[in-house]
Amino acid sequence: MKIDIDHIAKLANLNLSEDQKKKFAHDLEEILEYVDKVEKVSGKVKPPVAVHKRTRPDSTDNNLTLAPEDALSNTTSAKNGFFVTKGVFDEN
Amino acid sequence: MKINSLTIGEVGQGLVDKDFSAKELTQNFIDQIKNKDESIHSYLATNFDIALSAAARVDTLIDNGEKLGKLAGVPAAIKDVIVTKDLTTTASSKILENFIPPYNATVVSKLEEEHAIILGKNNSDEFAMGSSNENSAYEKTVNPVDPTRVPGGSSGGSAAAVAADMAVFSLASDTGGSIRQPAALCGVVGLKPTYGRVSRFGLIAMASSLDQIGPITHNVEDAAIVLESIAGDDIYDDTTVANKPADFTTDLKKDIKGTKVGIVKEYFGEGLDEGSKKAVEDTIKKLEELGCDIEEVNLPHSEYALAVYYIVMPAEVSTNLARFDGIRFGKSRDFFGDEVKKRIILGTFVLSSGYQDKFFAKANLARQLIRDDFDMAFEKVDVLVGPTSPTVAWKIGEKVDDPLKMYLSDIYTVSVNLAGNPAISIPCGIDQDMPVGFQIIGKHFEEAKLLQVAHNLEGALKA
Repeated sequence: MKIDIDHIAKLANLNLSEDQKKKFAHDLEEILEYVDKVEKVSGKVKPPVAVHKRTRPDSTDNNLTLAPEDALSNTTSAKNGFFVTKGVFDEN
Repeated sequence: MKINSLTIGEVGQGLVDKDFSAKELTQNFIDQIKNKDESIHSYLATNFDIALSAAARVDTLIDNGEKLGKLAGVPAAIKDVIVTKDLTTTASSKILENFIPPYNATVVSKLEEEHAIILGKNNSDEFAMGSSNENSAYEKTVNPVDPTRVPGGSSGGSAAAVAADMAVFSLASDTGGSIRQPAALCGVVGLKPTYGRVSRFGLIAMASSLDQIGPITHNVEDAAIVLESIAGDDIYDDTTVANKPADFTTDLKKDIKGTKVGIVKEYFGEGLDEGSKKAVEDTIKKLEELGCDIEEVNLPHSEYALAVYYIVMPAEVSTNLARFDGIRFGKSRDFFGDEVKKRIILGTFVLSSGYQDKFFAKANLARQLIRDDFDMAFEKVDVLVGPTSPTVAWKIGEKVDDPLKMYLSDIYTVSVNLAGNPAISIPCGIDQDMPVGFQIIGKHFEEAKLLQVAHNLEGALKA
C-alpha cells in the first residue's frame, strides 16, 4: 500500500526530513500490510453503550481552573496575560 | 535486614517498631539511587529535598501518635508520563524538556494523602511508545538483572527502579502492556487495573480508550495496597466508575480452592519461546496443586489483537498529541522523536479520507469481537492465565530496526487493554538466566479475585 507521506505529514502538522519520509514510508507499509488482516472480520458493530454519564454543576470549579499565572507558566509566548499565537485570518 | 527491598507492610511495621525513621529510610533510598542509578538509568528527575521533608512530616505524625496513611513513609517513584506539581515532567520527550506542571495528577495527590514519599520520576519510552525503553529521548534504562539487556517498556524505568530496590513501588501506565511486560522482563509484579478503576487525570494521554494507571511492586500484596490507595471515582476523569467495591486486601490471603482457571490456548502457539513456555506450564501445575479447576479456553479473535491495537492506538495518538503545538507549553513539534512522529503519521493515515472505513471501522468491529471473546470465556472461568511476554528480556539494540518484531513483544498483553479487563504479571521462573512473567487476567472490576489468585500462586512459587 502506497502512502502519500507529504499529504499525511501536512495533515498531521509535522515537518519531516527526506530521510524520515523514506524510513517512515517503509515502516508504515510493513505495518499496514500486517494490520490489513482486520479486513477479514465481519459482523456488525454494536452501538456504544453509555455506562456512565454525569454532568457537573453549572458553576466555576476553582480546583480545576488554573490561575492565569499558572496557566501561562510554561509558555514562551505570553503577552498581557494571554497566549500569543499565529493569526488564523489574514489581516487583509 | 536489607532496608531497600522492604515491602509496604514491612515499612509500616518498621516505622511503628522504630527500627528506622521515615527520614532514615528515605535517605537510604536516596543513597541507593545515587550509587546505583548511574548504571541503571531509571530516574529522569529526582525530588530528594522534598522527599526528605515529607519523610520528616511522617516521623512527626508517628511521634504525635496521629493517624497514618496506607503508604506512610513508603519511598515511591512515578513514571514520567504522570504530571507532578512543580516537578519536571517530560514524558521522556525533548518536546517537554522544560515542562513544570502547575498541578498534580489525581493519583499523585492520592499517594500524598496516604503519606507516600515521592523520590522522583522514572524513565520510559517517549510518550510511553515502545516496548524496550530504547525510545526515551534522554537515556536508555538497562535491565538490573542483566545490564546488557532491555528492561522492557514502556515503563522500563519503573520496573528497573523497583527491581534494583531504588523504590518500594512505582506508579506506571499501561496502554498495550506497558506495566506488565517490563515487570515480567525485570522480575517484579505489574498490575493493570480495569479500565475505569483509576483516574487518568494528569496522565499525559497516549490512547484514551486504552490507557490505565497501575503499580509496579515487589509483590502482589503491595500491588493490592497501592491499588486501594489510587482507585476510585474522580470527577476529573469521566471514565472512572463510582460504587465499585475497592477492597483488595481483606480476601487476599484466602485460599483459592475451586477457582476456575482458563488457559488461553491461543497464547501458547508460534512465537512463544520454549523456555518461557515451560516456566508458564510449570506454574499452571502449581495452580492445580492449589486446588484450582483448570480448563482450556479459546479467545478465537486473538490473532487480530495486535492489528487492531496498531490501528486504534495510533489513531488516538494522532488526535491526543495534536495538543503539543508549542503554544501553551513545550517546544515545537519538531522536537518529537521518530517513533512518536511515526505513530502520529500512521494514526493520521488510518483516519484520513478513504481509509477510515477500511482500517478504523474494521478495527472497531474486531475490537468488539475480541471483547466478546473475553466475556464468553469469563462465563465459564474466574480468571484466565498465560505468558506475559513471548520471550525474556532481549539484548539492547536487538529489535530497534525491526518495528514489527518489536511490536510483537506485546502480543499477549494488548487484547486485555482492548477489552478493558484487569491483568497482573508475576514472576514465575527463569529462562536463559532471565525472569519469566506469568499473566493472570480477571473479570471487569474483579481485581480482588485476580489479586487473590496471584497472591496464592506467588506463595506457592516461593515455597
